[in-house]
Amino acid sequence: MELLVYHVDANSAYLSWTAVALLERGYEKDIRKIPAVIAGNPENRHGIILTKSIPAKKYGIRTGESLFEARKKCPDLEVYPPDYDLYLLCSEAMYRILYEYTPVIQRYSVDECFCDMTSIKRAGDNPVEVALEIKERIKKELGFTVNIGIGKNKLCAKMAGELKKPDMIHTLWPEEIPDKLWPLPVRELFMVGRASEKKLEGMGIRTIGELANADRGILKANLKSHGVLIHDYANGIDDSEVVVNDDIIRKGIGNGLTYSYDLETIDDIYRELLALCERLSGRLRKLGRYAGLVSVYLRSSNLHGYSHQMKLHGMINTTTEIFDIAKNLVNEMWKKEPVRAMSVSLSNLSDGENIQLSLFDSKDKEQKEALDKAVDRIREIFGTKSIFRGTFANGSVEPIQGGVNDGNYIMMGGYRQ
Amino acid sequence: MKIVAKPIKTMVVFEYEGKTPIPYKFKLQMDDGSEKIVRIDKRITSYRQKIAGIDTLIYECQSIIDGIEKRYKLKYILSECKWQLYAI
Repeated sequence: MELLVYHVDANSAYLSWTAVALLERGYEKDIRKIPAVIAGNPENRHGIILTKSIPAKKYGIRTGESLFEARKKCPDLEVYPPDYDLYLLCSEAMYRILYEYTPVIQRYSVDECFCDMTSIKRAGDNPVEVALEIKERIKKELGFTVNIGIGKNKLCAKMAGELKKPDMIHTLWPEEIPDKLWPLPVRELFMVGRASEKKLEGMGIRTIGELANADRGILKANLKSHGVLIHDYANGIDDSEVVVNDDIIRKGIGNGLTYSYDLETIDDIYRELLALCERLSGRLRKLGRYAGLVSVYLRSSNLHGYSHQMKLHGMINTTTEIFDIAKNLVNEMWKKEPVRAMSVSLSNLSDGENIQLSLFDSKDKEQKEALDKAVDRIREIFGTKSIFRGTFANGSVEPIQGGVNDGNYIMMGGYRQ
Repeated sequence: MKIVAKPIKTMVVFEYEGKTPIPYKFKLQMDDGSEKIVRIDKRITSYRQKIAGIDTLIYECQSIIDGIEKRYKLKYILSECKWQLYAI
């Protein structure tokens, strides 16, 4: 049986969630109806626009540009800070409602889901009516609007969801593709970015329709396998399934930060590195995994970046062991220059059931694992900041850093899976 | 009714069976710093609300305030254990 897929996307997610929460607190303005943006604090060098309201869009303000640029376009622009805890609540509530309709949901990011709704088709319900019910329930119960795209695969559902916003339902059945999809500029197609757009323009392809009817061989010659992929997408062909997030096999996890000041001494770097390792190893243990490879990436203040990695003899999951290896890697590669950004990643993950013991394991490995288990438990019950290492006491460095959620899905739009 | 979301000091009864808690009266801080006590005369309806994913209980009530009979809504935010005069 043919699939039926919904793509559910919260309209200007961060902004409308903040708007709803403000209204609930008695705020007199609905920031969805005035030129407003959600942006980080410019003083910490996070002054990037994360989301804009529809009136702000009319001024030509774009996601990802700096606050400074945006203010030049619209001097009365109102700026609100992001509240990630609230966004996770909203996302979770939206997911809960969708879960009443189908168990097969892929959380693509904090504000987007793919739902496999093939079961309602089997039950003989009208897909548009069900989508309308979901959309109205989210609006009434949670206070924000969503767009729902309906198609016979994920690509069609996603493209349908992007058609016209906000608060709408669109279908993109195979017979509607020439009318609804093909007139759009090629840039609107999923997986066509700035670079591909430029190459396609060189070949005289400006709309999705032109891409769909272009010669596959020529596309392959110019854009390699990516050309074939976007040619399929332009024709509405996509055979990927809706994958429930728990089933996505994780190849590696990482944690990193760009600092608002430069790290100049080795002690500073160690301390920040430990804070990153704390969060990262906590995530690793939450997934019940062990890591067999550690890598560290440093970027200096002149934006030059380099990384080092080390494959281990055994498998590790404790903060101390990960930190020790990360420290060694930093020692090997650091060129004594100020560091602006740093990240640590772990890969070669294993489930911890069959672990190759190593002769070089530290003697108190079991004790360390038990200690971390106890620390994780304390943090789970009393909050992440209830217990931390002495080196962070009375200091200015946050003991656990990086990340705004538990790392199960990325925060906003994106391609990583 | 307009949303005001003012914090209130509230007397509430939580029943044996743990049903929806019942508010009886509350204190409200006025702009001049004085406190006004409002007895809840009638509890018309209560329901759960999840706007913006925040779990709350809303009570629609009625009281005589300054000699005038008024309808208003109280809000109990479950995650924060806080009471508010939500709308009046």
